[in-house]
Amino acid sequence: MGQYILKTDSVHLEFDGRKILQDIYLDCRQGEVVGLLGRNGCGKSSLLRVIFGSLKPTYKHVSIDDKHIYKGYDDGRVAYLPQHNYLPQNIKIQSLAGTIIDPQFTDEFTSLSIYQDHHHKKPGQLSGGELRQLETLMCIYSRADFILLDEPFTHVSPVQAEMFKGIIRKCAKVKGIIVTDHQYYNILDVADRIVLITDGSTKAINNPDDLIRYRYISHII
Amino acid sequence: MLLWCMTINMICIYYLFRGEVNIVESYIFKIMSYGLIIGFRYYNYNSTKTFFYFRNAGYGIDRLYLYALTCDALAYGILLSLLKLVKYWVSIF
Repeated sequence: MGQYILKTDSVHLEFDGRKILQDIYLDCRQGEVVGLLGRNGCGKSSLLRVIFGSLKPTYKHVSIDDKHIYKGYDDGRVAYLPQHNYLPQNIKIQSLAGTIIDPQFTDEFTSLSIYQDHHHKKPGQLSGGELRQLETLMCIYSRADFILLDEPFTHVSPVQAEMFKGIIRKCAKVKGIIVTDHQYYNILDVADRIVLITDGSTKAINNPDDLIRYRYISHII
Repeated sequence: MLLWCMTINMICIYYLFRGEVNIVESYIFKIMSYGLIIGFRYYNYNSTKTFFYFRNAGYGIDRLYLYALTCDALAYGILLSLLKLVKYWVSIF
């Protein structure tokens, strides 16, 4: 498989005349994890949705291998984990997994205890935490070349966060993964590269001290 | 959506066999019902959330609607033809 590169450039996004994103460049190669950080309301989720194609900005240029793509989800090139639950409630989990999981990861996914325990159930029968865990895993293991994860570590226990990080690293050997979360220490841990969104533009973070310089954090924990 | 389409099919067939609407009018009624269900699903919060599953699975939402509603229209046509045939046989024998 070739090493595709996803590039997002010149995104302009406004809400009610307020400029959210205006000077954006973000790229991600298959084989790497890019961490996206930023304060509340800075446009992290919006940027991921623009790349995925479910949010239409004033202008954007998104390409894979320099070929422009109108919507990331067309042809299943990009998958997106939204912050909310997204699985249909009345279809069995094994049926839902069958259409979304990458065949090269099927054995690994189906051997997970969360799948083993609940594959015969419907999403509506799971607790909030179980459902979120399953949805996150189904997105990470999905067929897409590029995976966008919006707050995968929020509302999960530290043990589960560690498990997610291991799986993200493993899947990132063949996929490009962009991950954002307010638990920045998890992002610093899992990402190969960090990009910060501040004042509507992207800044490359070369070391954790840059996060203090851009006033994203006051100190490193 | 399946339940909605089946209900509309039954209502259309009922009024068609009572002679209150013709086939063309029943299809117009069905097209209107398609508009209603698509509109409802676009504005229903839970439905828009599950769109992400289908998009992640590589399905286009517009294509899904097109296939589902085409299948329903075809199934309605076949059901209607069979019932007309049965009615004709009953009138002969």
